[in-house]
Amino acid sequence: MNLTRRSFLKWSAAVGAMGTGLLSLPGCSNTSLVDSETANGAGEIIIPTCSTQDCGGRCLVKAHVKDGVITRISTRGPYEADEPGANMKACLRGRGYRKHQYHPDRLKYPMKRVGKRGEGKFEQITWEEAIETIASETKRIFERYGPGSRYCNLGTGDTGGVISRMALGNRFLCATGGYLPWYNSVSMGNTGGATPFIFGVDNTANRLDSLRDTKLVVLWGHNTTETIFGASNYYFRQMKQRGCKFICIDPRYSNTTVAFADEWIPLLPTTDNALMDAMAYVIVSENLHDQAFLDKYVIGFDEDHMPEGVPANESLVAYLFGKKDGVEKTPEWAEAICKVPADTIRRIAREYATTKPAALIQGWGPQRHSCGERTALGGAMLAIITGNVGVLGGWAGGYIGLTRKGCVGMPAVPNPYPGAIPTLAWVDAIECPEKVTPETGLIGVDKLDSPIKMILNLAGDFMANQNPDINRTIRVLQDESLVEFIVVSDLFMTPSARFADILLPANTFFERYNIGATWNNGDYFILSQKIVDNYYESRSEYDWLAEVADKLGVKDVFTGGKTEEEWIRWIVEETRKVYPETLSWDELKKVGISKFHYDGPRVAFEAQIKDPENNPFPTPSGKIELFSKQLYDMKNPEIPAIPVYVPAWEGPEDELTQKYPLQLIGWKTKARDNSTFANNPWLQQAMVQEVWINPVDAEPRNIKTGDKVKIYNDRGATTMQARVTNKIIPGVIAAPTGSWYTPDAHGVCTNGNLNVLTTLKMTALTHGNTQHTCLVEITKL
Amino acid sequence: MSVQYGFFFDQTLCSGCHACQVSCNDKNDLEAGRIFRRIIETEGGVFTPQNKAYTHNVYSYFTSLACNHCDNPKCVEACPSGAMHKNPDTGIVSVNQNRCIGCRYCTWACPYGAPQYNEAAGRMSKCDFCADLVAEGEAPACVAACPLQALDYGPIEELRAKYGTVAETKDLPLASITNPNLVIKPHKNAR
Amino acid sequence: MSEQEGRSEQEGRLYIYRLLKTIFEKPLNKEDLILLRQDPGLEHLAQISQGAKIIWNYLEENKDKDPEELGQELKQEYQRLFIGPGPVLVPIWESVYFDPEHLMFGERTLEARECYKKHNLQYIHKNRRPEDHLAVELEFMLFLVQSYLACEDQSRQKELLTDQKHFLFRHLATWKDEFLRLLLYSTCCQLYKGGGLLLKEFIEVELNMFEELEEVS
Repeated sequence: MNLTRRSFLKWSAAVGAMGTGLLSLPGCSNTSLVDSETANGAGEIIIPTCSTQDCGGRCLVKAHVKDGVITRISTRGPYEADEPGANMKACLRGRGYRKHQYHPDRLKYPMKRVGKRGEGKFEQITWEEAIETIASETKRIFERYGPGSRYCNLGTGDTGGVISRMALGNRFLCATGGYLPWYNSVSMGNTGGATPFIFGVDNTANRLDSLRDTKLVVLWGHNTTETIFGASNYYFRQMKQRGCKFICIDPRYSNTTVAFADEWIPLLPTTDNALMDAMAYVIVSENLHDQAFLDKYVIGFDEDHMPEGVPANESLVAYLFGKKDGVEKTPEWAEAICKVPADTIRRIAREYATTKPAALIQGWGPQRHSCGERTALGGAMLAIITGNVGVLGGWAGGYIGLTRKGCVGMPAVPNPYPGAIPTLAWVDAIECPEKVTPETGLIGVDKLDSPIKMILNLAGDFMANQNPDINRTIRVLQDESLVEFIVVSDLFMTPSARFADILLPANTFFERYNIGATWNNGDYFILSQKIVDNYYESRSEYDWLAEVADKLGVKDVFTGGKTEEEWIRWIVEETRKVYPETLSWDELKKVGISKFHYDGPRVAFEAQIKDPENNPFPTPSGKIELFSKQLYDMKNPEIPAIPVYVPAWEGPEDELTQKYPLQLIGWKTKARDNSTFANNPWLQQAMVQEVWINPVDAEPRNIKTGDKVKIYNDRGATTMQARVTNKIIPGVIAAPTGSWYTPDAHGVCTNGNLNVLTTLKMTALTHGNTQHTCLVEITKL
Repeated sequence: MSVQYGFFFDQTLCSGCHACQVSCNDKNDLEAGRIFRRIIETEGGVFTPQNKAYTHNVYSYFTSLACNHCDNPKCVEACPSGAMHKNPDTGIVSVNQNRCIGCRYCTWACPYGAPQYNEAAGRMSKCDFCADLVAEGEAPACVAACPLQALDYGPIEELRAKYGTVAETKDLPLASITNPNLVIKPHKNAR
Repeated sequence: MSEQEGRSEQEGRLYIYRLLKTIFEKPLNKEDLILLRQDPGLEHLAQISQGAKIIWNYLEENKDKDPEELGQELKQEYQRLFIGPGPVLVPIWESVYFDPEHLMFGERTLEARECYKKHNLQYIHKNRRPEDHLAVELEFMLFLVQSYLACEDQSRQKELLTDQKHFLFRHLATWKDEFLRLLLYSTCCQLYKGGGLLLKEFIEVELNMFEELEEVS
């Protein structure tokens, strides 16, 4: 029976007559609404700011604020001639920020784990209790196991900021006795590690504005239109309109290919070096190489220019013509490996060699492989033999950014612990630390005195989502006798957050001060302003880390006597001392962007090419080392002295293809920033989590577009929707990365996370990640 | 003073990033499923084995399409209540919410799929060229958002003078059906 | 209606608003549970309202349970339904139901803010938490009814009734159904199911009252 007006009135009267009608529950008094102090903010104010997410396109967004609430985000208008620099206009991720800010699932209160680790069961606690627990556990673990037992996981949730949460975690651990750091970027670590062997440094690329008059750009596994947007779009568009030709080499017909490519050249992943070798063969055999350049600046090209103490036939030319192994690296040889037709190889080799200048720009996908180092060096090799190094409009290779003007950083707190491990070794460092040795990438110490016992995971979903081999990883994390304490701070309950022992609500970039830096794509920075109050009980990691540091008696070491805002002000002031054109704090708050003076296009190695006498390359020989004696002496077949094709493990020539015949790669999608935004339903509308498969592979498996499929190998399985398309080369399947791992009862991810399939195995030289090297099978469900 | 507004779309530059669609959704507070500016992906061609490799003639492009505010809008013709109308001063076609009865005849008539049914309101809705922004001298949200400048807007005469008069591609409806106020620079595979 | 009846009616409204607010503001602790269990008003209400009956049955069925333990269970359930971590199963803020992207701090939140402002009130957690939380909206109604009871000026009373009516029709009434639907779908806990049902029943009675008033005037 439902309440009616009549029955209600009768009841009211009866209850009234009892005289004790009014409930006197303690919770009854008016506690939420209080006298209002001031008028509600009248109009709308617009505040320029930026995010500090891990994004190369650092854009300006405008927050429209009414009485302390962000009502919408707008962006910069249609093109403003921003010479030089990116146009800083927000992509669809930027437009979606408000959805991130006011999402009902945002973490609101500190929580502690109840139940088993990884179950995802938590109970609300006070900040006092959280701080107390973190302080006491930090102390206990340090005293028992030492500094090397403490680890702050990689996380890119806000590494676009000059102050990042991850760096704050490191800072805290340094201040409280030291910790075990990781090294190697999972974004471009293999390129970064290998490139110095050829050029002596890792910053080897030019600025995009130096390509103004370039006539040919080869984008080799580089999908900037989808990943970075603003910076490259601005330049590439102008170049295209000026008649520059673009060739996209990529197993997948990416959106960059759609927008820019005059030609799409698909190939099998990990076979890039074969293609490069064959191109070099054509270039050299047709005498299209720049002999003068090679004679003057390079060792290792031919037998006449080899270092001392190396036997004959170790030069590039000897290799290309099969002097040692009897195999000439012809286009016919290569086409069987990479699937690019021999005619095409010839044609593009000639084109690249004869178009002056030409820029062969590699993205980070091709290096995120078991052969990644060789791939990175191979791109440089082509630039070297055609003399495209150190010249305006050319491109030497390496990872995209050349060091540009940027902000001063926070002065570091030194780490008393001398060792460091490769980024991917952390799972071993927990489960079997004896396997982490100098041979497998441990540096600074000979062995680990203790396994990892404590993990800070701040603003990142790497731990159990973006990390390879998720199944192994979570098995290790679930064992509470291994890692004894895990603190996670985030905006949402990510797959990694499930493994927290203490789970803390973080504030967003709208709620704190920071500076948005670029990835060397532009000479500017943007002030990320505190615009609204912290949501619920969220706090900046800076604040609670400072409180924990205080409990441990090292507050001033951690804070340096400054609040978070004071640090940002300090950074702006210090940057002004270096670059007087930097805006003042007040000006920054009004306009957001501070631009550094543009001093012309910057080209890597300009000085080395113009004046080699006084500017040798920082290599042992002082020259470009196409043949590296250092690599030669390592005597490792995975790390040849010259960048050449070696069949990759778990590549298309691996015998594992008998069982798992398809290569799986992932791509970074426009709708996500790594895995950030993957819970934003509105953004996810703009793309669907589906795996691309060529009809050649789909037909025998009876797979049609829209079918639910399972992708699996020995490491795990995931399911998602299939798209049958010719935009991916046969033999390869591809899906967007960054989906949140969502296992069913059997551990099969139902949300298309690819890391259940990928490996923690590292590259030989750099000990970097190899996540795109992955053999799988796919089946219709 | 009357003018006919139109869109220009450079199909050779569009990368399918969806920024135009997302900014339109944002500006118009569109819920999932109601889309004023649609992005259509086209692909063609195949891989053919050749020796031990593959040749291919695969191509792909995107089309971003909202409403073309046509000279002969079939939606207006089909509308029984007079809700769908063309503004004589701007040429913008929009839906009078007070008159619309939600019969959806316009969706059958429009060859471009512009009219969108609003379930919550029980009425039709569509791209209105961001008439409010344009009146203030600002660009429609989609045009402002495009990171590749593949969209432009303005009086159709100006657009035609600047970009030409092509208003159809091989997979768009014939321009002669509704005389759309659209200029398009077709992708090389869409001619 | 006599003056005494009129007064009782307002007190009855206060009672139910208070009850609902208590249920949805935060998890009931053991003191709340003991008090509720003993309240004759609730026992009587259970005879005429399905929602109240379910609440009463919940208290009856658990009367031998240790209130501390019961409180702990409720804390977990409340957290699971309305707080997180992880997807909030039953959003308890109005704007999530109306915002095109289902966000907090939407237009509805700012509208509620204006309503409170008119009476010189603001949420104690303004701009930290959205003030269109169900418990806050209920508290506002509570305030308006209390103000009505406390005031004697007829035109002021009329104004208060107008504000009550507006807030009910524009706010509380517009999302009670969807809120209840999600609640019923997501929980087996009779306290919350009963609370959601009582909310719906009572708001509908309130709406009826205002419609009647209009007919009369």
